[in-house]
Amino acid sequence: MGVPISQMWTVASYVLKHKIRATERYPLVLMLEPLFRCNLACAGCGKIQYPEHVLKRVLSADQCLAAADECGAPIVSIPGGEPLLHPEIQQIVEGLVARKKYIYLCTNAILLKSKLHLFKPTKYLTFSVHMDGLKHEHDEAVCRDGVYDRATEGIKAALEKGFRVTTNTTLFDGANPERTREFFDEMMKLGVEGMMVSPGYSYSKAPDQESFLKREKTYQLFRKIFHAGKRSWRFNQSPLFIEYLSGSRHFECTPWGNPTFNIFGWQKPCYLLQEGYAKSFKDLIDNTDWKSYGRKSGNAACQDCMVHCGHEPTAVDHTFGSLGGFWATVRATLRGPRIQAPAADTDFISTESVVGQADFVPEKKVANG
Amino acid sequence: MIALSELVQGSEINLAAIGEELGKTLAAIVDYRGDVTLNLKDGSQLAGFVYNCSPKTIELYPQTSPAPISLSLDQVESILISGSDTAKGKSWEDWQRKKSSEREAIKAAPIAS
Repeated sequence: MGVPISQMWTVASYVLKHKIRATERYPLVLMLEPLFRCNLACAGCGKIQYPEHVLKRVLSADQCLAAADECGAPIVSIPGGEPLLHPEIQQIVEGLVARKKYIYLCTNAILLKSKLHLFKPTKYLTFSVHMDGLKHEHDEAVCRDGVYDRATEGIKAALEKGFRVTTNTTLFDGANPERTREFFDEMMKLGVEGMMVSPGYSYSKAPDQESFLKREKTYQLFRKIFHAGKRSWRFNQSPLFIEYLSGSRHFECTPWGNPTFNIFGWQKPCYLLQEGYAKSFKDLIDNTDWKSYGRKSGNAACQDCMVHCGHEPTAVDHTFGSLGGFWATVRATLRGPRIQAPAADTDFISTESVVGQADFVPEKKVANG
Repeated sequence: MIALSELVQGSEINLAAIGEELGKTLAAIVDYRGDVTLNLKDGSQLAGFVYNCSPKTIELYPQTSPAPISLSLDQVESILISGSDTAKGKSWEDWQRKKSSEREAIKAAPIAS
């Protein structure tokens, strides 16, 4: 179990509060992008390709804290760009801690060791270190040699000083399941609190059949990684999301679950798509055509997307939305996620027929992990 | 309609000539990851990065100003794609193609004895 009980309690009470109030759409994690500038240029990262004068712009600490207040989500993720390059990152973190927000500061950790003095260890602050695999895979993914070693140095230094540290890993087509399992072992040996894994997002206008095959490929990859998963692995994410990645259950996207705020405003509709900006969080929630997004909508840009920022909020909502969801989470937490065996002739579970927000898969089709 | 792929540095879009496809054209301009120059009806120009549009307004970060600016579309004569596309050739697919060809080259190289 990666997430501390106090954090789970905060999230649980927050979600239940909205359930009781019958809030139709509520945010779970604010994706706060205080800048786009980065000290890496990772392949496929769509966040940093802007003209130089845009890359030099930052949100002020006051703007960041106002956004957190306006949104109200209990968790604030600070991606970017590289947040440790922000001149007011200390003030941003201190302000969020004062508001009792659980912060995931997403960093490539190149500067982590040298910037640790800016922060104080607290249960509210977690360094979420971008690690896309073991040394070879990670350095290739970030397009620079030596970054894996720098990041592991940063992780060790942060752990020694008593900070919470997790890793976040994006897996694309072609990821090696065995190497990924070795990577999980390595991160656990390093002593991180937990790991987060998500498939990469690639915008696609491919016809439905191709999309379906892509999705099946994702299921196979995650089945190979998580089937007979080790009890020593700890994940800082919902076990139901891992079941979803492996095709054991289906979740529709909750695009308003992780709203994104950056120098342009509140991004419509989600962290990945950029279809304009709202002036306020309320404007985003009230005036976005939400039914146009998610797989069921038929939107081509959403067909292959299984990314955590849209689907993990669904998993969390499912946990607290029904006794069945709660029990499934308890079961998956205690016994590990149910992951189907990754046989080549696997009887795939068709997600085409699934209608609801979440759906249980008959046990006979699922091998216990 | 002007597709994003047709927005190349140096092309100019006359807003009056677009007609019903104005919304889609503006969306393509918002998607473009480079600067543009707005040629205004009063004869002045404004260069910057367009990040948002509505049917009536266009919002941009000017190259030389710290604050964003919102302009009425009625003020704009044409939009010149003046800056290079900073995202061009940097997609994950581009990277995969590059790495794939590198691996193929390594496989094809003779093993030194």
